[in-house]
Amino acid sequence: MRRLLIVEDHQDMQVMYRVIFRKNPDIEIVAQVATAEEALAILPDVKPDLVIVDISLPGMDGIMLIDEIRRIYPNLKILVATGHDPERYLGAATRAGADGFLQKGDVAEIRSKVSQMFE
Amino acid sequence: MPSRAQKRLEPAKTVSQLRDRLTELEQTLDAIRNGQVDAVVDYNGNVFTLQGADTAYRVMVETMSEGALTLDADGLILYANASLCAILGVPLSAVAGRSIKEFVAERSAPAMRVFLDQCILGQTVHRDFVLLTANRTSVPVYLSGTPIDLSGRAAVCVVASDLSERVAAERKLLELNTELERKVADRTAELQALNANLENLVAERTQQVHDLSKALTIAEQKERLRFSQVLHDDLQQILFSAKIQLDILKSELPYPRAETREDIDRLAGLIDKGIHASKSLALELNPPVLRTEGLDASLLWLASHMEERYDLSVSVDLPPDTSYIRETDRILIIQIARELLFNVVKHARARDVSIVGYRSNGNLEVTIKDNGVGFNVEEVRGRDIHRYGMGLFSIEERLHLFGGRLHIDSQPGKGTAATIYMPLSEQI
Repeated sequence: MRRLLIVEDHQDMQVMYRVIFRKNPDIEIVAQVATAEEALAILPDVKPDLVIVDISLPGMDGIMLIDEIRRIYPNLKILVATGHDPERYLGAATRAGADGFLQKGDVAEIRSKVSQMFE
Repeated sequence: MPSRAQKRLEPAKTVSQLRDRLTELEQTLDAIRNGQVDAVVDYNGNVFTLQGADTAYRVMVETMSEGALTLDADGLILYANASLCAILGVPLSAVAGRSIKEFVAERSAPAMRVFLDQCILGQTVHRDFVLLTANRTSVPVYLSGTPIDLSGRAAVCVVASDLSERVAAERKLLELNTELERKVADRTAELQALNANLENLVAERTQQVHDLSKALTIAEQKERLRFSQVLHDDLQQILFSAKIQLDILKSELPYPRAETREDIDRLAGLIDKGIHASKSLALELNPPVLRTEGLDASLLWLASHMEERYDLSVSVDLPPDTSYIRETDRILIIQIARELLFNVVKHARARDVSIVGYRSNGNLEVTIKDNGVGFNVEEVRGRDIHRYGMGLFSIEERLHLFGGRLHIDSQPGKGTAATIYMPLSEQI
């Protein structure tokens, strides 16, 4: 069972992730938080295998969170989720240490990218 | 032979007779001077008539309101009428035989000499003088002198008009005039002060309107950003979530009918359209590069956006470093450039557009030039903005608020070049 932490401030998107993975026996969403600060606080307890980070977050944004997670947990897998044009954030997110991108709204891509992280 | 005593008495008698005669002559002379006699008869029986043909003139001269007098060449008063005596405040006996100079103010004496000389030389002379009365008060008079001949002697006939009332009236008029001028000056000063206050008020209000309009423009930029964020952070997330859940619903239905699948696909297509529309709107309201990149990158993005959406070929040539341009100015330039490009799409029927920018004379100049149909600039400016929209007027007004201006160069059939001038002095 792979442990998944979702950092997403929009409630409907949180529901979306739960619906996507509710029937996947290999994935468990161990926590869903709305801010980067909450994510950093909960990380030691939930010990996820993969973190999905939304770019636009209130307070500390997604890029800064990735940077911080990578500093503390060098081997933790991180995917960036965005509804924007991914190319806009590709450079900044890669430099911060993201392992890949998710395009919001495409369920097949989300499932596929998450699976790739655990291969 | 007369006795010695008799001889002694004769001179005394003669003296007495002479004295009586002298007294008689003086009385006669006074009577003549005072106009009390009309004729004089001497001891030889000769009659010197003072009445007769001259009486009418005498009466006229004595009763006229103007003063009249005759002077000899040295200014000795030979005759004066009652009005002149009244002007001088003395009886005729105190005037006749005296010099006119005694009745002239000291400052007028040289002028009187000239007056007399001119008259004696045959001229008719008119002149203002100041005469002195018996109690030494000044009387302004207007003298008209005419040369006359008195039994072979050159003399002057003078008519004197008392100007006291006229001078008093003039003085009063002058006072009234001075008072009026003072009041006019006071009122003018009040009006000037009022006008200055009004001008200050107008300037103050104009500045307030200017500040308000500028604040509104900046507020509009912020509102665009806010709308864009609402579209992205809220509406798009809902649509993403709905679409994914619909996809999952479709995949998890055990044995859906064909119509149901079609319904779900149609619904998913509508959500896709909603996502696309909200993305486009968010992008147009607040192009992402607008706040994160420089003017050159923003214009390049705008060029590619116009090419992608409207099939318009846009080239951009700008100096590489435009970081000296303030953010609000940069956003305004991009917004205006976008509106001008929309104008090209809507009106110009052009395919190629160039955007060229450079620094010149403290300004950033950005020229957007197309090869379209062009237009008559004055005609478009003169249109009713309520009927045809704000268009160029709105662009010019917004630029003006930030110290900039717009210049349009266009003619029908010859394309259009619109140049934005934005001052840089405050930003550098």
